Amino acid sequence: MTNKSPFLTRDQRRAQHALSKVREVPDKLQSDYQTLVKGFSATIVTNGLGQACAMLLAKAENKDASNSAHRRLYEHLSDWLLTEAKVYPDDTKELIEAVIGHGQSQYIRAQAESLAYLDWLKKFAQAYLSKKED
Amino acid sequence: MKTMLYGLLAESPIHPGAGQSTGFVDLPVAREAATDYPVIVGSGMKGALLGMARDHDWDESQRNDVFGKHDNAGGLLVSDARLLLLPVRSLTSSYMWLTCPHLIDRYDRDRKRTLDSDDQLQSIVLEDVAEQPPQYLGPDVGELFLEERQFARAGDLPDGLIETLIPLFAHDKASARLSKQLVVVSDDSFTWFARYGLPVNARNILNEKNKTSKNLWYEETLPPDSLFYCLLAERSAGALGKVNELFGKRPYIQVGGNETIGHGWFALSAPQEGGTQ
Repeated sequence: MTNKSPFLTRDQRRAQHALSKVREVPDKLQSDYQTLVKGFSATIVTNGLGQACAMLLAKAENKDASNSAHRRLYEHLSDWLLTEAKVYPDDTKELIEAVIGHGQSQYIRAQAESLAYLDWLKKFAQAYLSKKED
Repeated sequence: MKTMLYGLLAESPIHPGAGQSTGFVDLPVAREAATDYPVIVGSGMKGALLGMARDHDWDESQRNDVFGKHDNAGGLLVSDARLLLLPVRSLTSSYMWLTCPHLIDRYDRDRKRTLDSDDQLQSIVLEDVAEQPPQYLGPDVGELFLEERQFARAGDLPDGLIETLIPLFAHDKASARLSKQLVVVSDDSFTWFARYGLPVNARNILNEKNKTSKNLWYEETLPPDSLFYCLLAERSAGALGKVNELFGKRPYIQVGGNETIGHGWFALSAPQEGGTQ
């Protein structure tokens, strides 16, 4: 799905990944997802990456990604950090365990990577997802 | 050329805007391109000074002499205001004032350029502060927790550092806290705090009828007690004297955005002078 051509910049890879994920968001979650993504970078910066991820899990309340925008964002972030950006060792399965279980330098890299990725996610969510009318 | 170096101590949050961004906040503070340190560019400082001059009823010819206009340069040179100490919240104590070897070195160089009497200038010699594992120089508080990060103590503050900073403070009580709150970390660690450690405020416009959000945005500010410094020099004699008159009446200046919600106020220290008359 994601093009891994070496001629792409890292930011292009972030953009490709973000775009494909945003397009998978189902209709009923689009408005919630858009609002959530808009403020999530600020949540990371004010509370820390670990707390921000834990907040997503708490709000998802054990729902799966087809019923929860929070769970969906958690999985998008997880897929980027663990599978594509490979911030953590290959055998890491769960994002929250990775974030709280590795050293400061990885934490810092994961935070920077999350924020850069969220820039794209935020823009694409605004561009492609429909917002609830009030 | 006569020059003066002023310390600028933030009395309120400061928002030197950089316009809209696609980054993690909608309205970030202005940053230097190469280092990502927050900065107040010279044109912004000059604009703030011109605003003060207007408030003090300078007539047009006076303003043109000092600040210039489209077809003539003014007599005053205004530098960027550069960051020197950044307050960062600490888990175990009050906030800490953070700085790093690069900022101290740059301050040393700026002083050399402006204050040319050698005896005022004691260069600060810094021990190494390691990045991995992260270390700090400063008062012994054991393990230091800043935001979510942890630092081990590597030693005392370099000799003479506090003494060179004191003249930049407008308030004695504030500078008296330096020995308890000043901390030097590595350049890389400092950059992380300068990038991600600033306060982010959510602001909102409400729909008047049903009080739902019409527009939510996030903006970044520099916290109160941030310490900057700025150099003023004169091309034509007398320009600095006139500016000092402004400050003499009230040693405060408002810089940057969000003026109507109380942001942007700096207290000015008494200037350190240099150069020939």
